[in-house]
Amino acid sequence: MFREELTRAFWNRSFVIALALGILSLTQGYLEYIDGPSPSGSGYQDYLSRLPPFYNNAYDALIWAQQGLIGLLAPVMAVLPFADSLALDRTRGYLRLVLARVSYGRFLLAKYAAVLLSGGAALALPLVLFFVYTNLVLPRGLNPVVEQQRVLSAPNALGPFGDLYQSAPDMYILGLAGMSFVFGAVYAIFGLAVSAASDNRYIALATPFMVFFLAHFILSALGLPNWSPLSPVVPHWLMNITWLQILLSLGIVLVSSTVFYVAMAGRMRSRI
Amino acid sequence: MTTKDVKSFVPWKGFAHFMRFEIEQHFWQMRWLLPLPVMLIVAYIVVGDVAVDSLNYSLESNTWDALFSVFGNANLVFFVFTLLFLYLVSDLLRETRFGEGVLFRLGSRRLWWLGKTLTLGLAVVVYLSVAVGIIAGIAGFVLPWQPGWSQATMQLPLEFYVAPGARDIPPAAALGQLLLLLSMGWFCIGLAVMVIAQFSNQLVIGFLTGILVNLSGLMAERADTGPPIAYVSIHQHLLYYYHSFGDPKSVYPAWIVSVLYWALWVGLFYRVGLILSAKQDFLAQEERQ
Repeated sequence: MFREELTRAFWNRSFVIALALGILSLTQGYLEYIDGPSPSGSGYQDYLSRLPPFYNNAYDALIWAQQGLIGLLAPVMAVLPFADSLALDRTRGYLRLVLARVSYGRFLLAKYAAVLLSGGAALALPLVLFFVYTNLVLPRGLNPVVEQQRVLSAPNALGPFGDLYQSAPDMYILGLAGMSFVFGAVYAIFGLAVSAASDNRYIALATPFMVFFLAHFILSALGLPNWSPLSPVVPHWLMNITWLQILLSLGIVLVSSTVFYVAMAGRMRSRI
Repeated sequence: MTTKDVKSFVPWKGFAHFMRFEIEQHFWQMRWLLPLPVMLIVAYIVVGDVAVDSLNYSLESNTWDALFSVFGNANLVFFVFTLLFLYLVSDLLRETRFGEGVLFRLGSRRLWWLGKTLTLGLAVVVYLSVAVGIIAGIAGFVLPWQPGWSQATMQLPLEFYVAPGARDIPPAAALGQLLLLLSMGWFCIGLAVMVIAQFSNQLVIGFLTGILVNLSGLMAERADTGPPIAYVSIHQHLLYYYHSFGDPKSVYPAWIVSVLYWALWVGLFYRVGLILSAKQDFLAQEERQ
């Protein structure tokens, strides 16, 4: 059952759309990062010679790219692959056929795991792919001239694991991808919980995005931007973002969504 | 059906029935309660800010300051109002099985698309009325109602998202112009969402398109994009602040140009929607969505 659900979650058009959306969003941020003459132009070498070594580098490029559109679209990308599938299975009668073969509990567990993994992958994969790209086109190294760095390199400016940026930049980028995975997984579960309650697939897909934005707006307006749900997916968007803020932001969504999913799935059983 | 029934059949009667069903189906939902707490929070934050500014500058403020600070603020328009509106209306094309039955009784694809468009228009009016009503109501408790601009706006118009040239217009008329731009803009984006949803047969793709259009406006505004992109970007036509108000040196469009801009897009999207609705497979729609 789990393998079947996993195949459905990853092998569908919406997953590809989520990946494409991620790559395009990162490209928008990357284009803002790359300034000055075109790398293929004649004046590029002269331009580079006047700058510190590693002025443009593979790590900063990814950090810049992540500060663009992707943070805002993250909740939609997370739910796109498979979060609405429970509503779809129910309304199409697929669920009735499946329950002739496996228990309801196993089906729900397989669905939960598949949604969690696909949502996480939809956010983390574009970052990993883009990091491969920046490694191919830009030098791998950090700009030693602090005054001319493209990103704030102080550890407290780069999130709770910001000290990795100087000591092990590859691990730092991997940490960003990991955080994106966790964020995607949590918001995909949010969408799944909504789809357990509503037959309207649109509601399952759009509600996490709306809640994310409203929470972000309200917390920012109340002077608590570090607690915004944006912090886990872009932990370097503000100074002094802590593990507590990230874990609480994600933990509340994950626990309440899981409880809601279990409760609604129990109620739904009589309607199958 | 008897001969008498056929003779007495009035298409508009069926249309009125369809519209009533549309309103019941789309507006009688828990989701439509969401603007109430959101607008209350926005009012609480912005009215508080205006009152504090008034004290800090020792200049008298009034209710118009709060209204312009809310509906002229790019962050609120792009981050809150437009997104919430899109969330409420992006599934207007969704039909239940009963809805399909109503559609067959309607018997015309043109009337179906017209009905959907009118429902969207009604959604704009309801949403804007709720927003303005709540903000004005809360602001009215804290700040005085006055017929003219406040001292604060006359001296520091930019603090309240009022362009200096707009002060020549009475505040009620200026707010009317601002709300017309917002309502036309939201109606147009909503129409674009419905057209894309029809084209892709996916409501969420329509919603996603709306989000991207909205974010493109936000980013153009943040980047202070210059011409020619600024002429086509939605931010210059949605936000009242970005207008010339008769200043020939201004790089911003005149208010009437923005009205024409939205009218042009509305006409285009309505026409495209009409063409797409002629090809729509309504029977399979529910299964796909």
